[in-house]
Amino acid sequence: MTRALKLLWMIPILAPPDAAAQPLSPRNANYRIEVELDPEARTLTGRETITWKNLQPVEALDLRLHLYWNAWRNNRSTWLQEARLRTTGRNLAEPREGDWSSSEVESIRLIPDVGVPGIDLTAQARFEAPDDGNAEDRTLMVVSLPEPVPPEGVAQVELTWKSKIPRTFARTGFRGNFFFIAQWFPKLAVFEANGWNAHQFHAGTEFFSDYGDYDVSITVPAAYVVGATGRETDRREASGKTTYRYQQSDVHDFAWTASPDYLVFEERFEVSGLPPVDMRLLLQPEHLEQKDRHFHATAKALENYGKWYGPYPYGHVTVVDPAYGSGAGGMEYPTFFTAGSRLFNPFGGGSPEGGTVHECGHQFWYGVVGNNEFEHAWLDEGFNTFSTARTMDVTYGPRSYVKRYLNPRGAERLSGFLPVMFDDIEVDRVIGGDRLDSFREDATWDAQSTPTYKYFPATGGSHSYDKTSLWLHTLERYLGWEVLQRILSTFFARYRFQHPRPEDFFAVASEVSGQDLTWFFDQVHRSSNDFDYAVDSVKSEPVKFKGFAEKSGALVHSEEERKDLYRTEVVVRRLGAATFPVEVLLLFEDGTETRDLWEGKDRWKLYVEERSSKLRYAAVDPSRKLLLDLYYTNNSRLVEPGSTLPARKWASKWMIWFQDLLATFAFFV
Amino acid sequence: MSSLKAAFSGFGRVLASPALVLFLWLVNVLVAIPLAVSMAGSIEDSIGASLVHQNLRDGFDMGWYGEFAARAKGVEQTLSPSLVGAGAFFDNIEAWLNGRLFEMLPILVAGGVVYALLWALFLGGILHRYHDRRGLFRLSEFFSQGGEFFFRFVRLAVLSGFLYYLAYRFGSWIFGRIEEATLDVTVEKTVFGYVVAAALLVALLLTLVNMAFDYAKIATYRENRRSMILAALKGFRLVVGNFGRATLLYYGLGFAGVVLLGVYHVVAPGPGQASVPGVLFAFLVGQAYLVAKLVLRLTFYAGQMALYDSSGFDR
Repeated sequence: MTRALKLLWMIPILAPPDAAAQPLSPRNANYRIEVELDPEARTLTGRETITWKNLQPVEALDLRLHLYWNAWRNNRSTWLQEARLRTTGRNLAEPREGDWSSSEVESIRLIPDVGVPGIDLTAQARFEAPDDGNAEDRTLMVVSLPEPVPPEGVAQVELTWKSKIPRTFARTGFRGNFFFIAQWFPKLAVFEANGWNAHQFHAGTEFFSDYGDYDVSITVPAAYVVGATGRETDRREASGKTTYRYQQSDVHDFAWTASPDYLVFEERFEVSGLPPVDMRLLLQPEHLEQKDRHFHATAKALENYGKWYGPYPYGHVTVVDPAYGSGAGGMEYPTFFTAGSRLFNPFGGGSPEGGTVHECGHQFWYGVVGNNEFEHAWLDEGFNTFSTARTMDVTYGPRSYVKRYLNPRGAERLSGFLPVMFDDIEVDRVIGGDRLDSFREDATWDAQSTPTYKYFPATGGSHSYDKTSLWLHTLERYLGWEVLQRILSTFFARYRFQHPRPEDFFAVASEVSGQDLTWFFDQVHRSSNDFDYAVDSVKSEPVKFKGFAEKSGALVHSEEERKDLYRTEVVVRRLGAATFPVEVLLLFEDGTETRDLWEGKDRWKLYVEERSSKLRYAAVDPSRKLLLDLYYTNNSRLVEPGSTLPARKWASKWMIWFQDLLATFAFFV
Repeated sequence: MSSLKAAFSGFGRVLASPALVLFLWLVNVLVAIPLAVSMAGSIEDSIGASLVHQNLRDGFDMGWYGEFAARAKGVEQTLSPSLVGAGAFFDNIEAWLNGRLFEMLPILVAGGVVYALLWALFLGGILHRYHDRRGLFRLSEFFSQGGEFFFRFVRLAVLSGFLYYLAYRFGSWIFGRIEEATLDVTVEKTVFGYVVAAALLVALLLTLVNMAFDYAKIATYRENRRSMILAALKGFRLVVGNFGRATLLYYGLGFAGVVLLGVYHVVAPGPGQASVPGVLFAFLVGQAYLVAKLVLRLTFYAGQMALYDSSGFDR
């Protein structure tokens, strides 16, 4: 090993001047970046210095860097090939010439020390595709090092690169003069005890990186307003351009936005018992009347998540209302997130509040607790979907059903300009928040324990978001909110600024609840089985006797019906493959009831009761604890079928629609 | 005759023949009933003896609906929470405007086509009634006139269908162009403006064709025309030659329809009827709106007939 290289591994990590005195995170992946935006050419030109410390007990032979924007370099990338299997519409079906992007690293130099000439590693760089061997995927770059980085050693590399900005894919890119720049710089993967945890960019996954300090200088035309991760610490103007300097410690990513159109507003979040947070809102002018709704939803997320899980540690957050049609809405970055709204958005319909709460909530689940989203996206997406649903419920109550009209044909991106809100039709937390309906369709596609990047692309979201939210909500009802809240806050406190794995959460859940919940996670996490319990049949009739009876020592044929005694027979069934202990309720006409906790493992169970009252109805899981039960209508059954009025009512409303449809056809004659 | 006078004259002619309105409404109801009964059966099967029926009696249950929709087949797929109140009509206006009406389930399209053919059968009788207002409405006379003009009106419908098709194609084209042209527009208000303008243009094309073919039908009836191509040309000539009066009448009545829908949107009962009288009342309010809409549609024919008969219209 040369003297220079020996020195290399001893470089101290220099924290930015504003870094907190007491580090919250390991800060082992630190970036100093200078980048310039050319809005006309839609390019970025950047230079970055990465200072990385090996925290593992093994040597690192190389460095692995994500170049996410190469996912849209051409249609042969793994991302775009997988995207074709998806139906979310977030990706462009037919990218045009100017829509493609690229990220070209022009030079890589290893910097041994101040004043020591760098070692050019550019020729050592190559692309790998560890997940599918796709030779045309260029989203993961491997740079061989002249010498391994030992445990506790530090490597410093300097890169220059040039990127072509995409028309928005995966919520990053441009639309007109609006730029949302995320996953934009060559970024280190995470080095673990068994080597690099480095995946290609997949259509159904997000990201994973180490915590560190970011010091980023962004140069844009002077007319542009900039927002970014962190706080602005400096601003300089020269030659019609402005350079903004943003710094942030203890984060694992950095994103920014630039547009000349933003209106900027600031408010301060102050709630007793929680640290204050400066909220900065970059708002589209046409959404001016929605300003307070954005602030309110952000504050409610900070308040509820803060009280439930732990305080927001950064003291500031930037909310971005992205440009119309930009596709940048609904995404989280440390201390910085995009909400997303429409021109007309009636209050009570859940937007933009739901998206704002969700993305702000990611500051906790993803931001502070930094799980591996390539492999266990459910750990943040699911926890956050659950928390969003709960926050929305306690803050706003059930939302109203909204249908959006004016969906022109032949232009799929122009849609839903006119919302109509149906005030009388409530969408509750289970349907609107936990999203049971979307999960139902995808329930058995994958076991949740499958690494996220291996989920079927079209249905993976249901397993990350919806299923987790449903099973957490189930746990809330099964264990009680106080216990679940303690589980989540313990997990949050224990793994803040770390990279927890699923087993870490399962251990905390069992530890805090005081019961072994392995059986539960076996069903909801390690299996793709579906849940469906049902009442198969109910019968409740006066007890009848027919046949021989013993009277005065002799067998005599007898037929007797007792009006004062009813025999009730109820058969409950497990229609799904998954099991869960469920309560079975038998409610009698005199108001008495029996409740039994059925293990729910057998395929069916018969309940027989003989008592003076007739059964009114039977119900499996009457208090609906098992929210993963895909079909709840079959969970109850009345002895005397209910009125046909509901069916007739809704059919009569349908008939009015159909009559008008017929009349609409007559227009053409 | 002014457009306003023609409208009032037409409205008077429609009101003078309530039996015709009743007959047409009954046909509309009768055609709809079989599928409505089938829908009621499907909903009933889905609810079964479940406690969910209470939720659906008191309002709508989105949880149940999700389960129903997940297993829905055929016509069941068209049950939607948006059918409440004026939402049902918004759905159809949207389908009319973007042409997705013809991309619905085959059974619905087939039902619509059958109903349209019935309408073609009735048109001769309708026009006859609003031209010759003597005596009582008689079905025999109605069908006799309808039968006489049925095939001619079907041929006319084929011709107009081609023009409607072109209007929809134009709609797809212009919306596609707007999408391309606004790829870099960051203000929804701007894009919304373009889309509304284009939607109005498509609506204008569809209604212009409709108006011209209304006059083509009137000319066919009044002049006993055999050539539907010439009748169609006559319809367009009449519209062009009397553009102010014809369009004012047509769009004035169209505006009345928009007002009517607005009123219904305000007064239409929601989903909360929990008793037989309540359900019946909501149904009757819906039927009242449908009848009002039917009266308005007939007023188009009768008003246009009045205009056609006025001096100087058909020079």
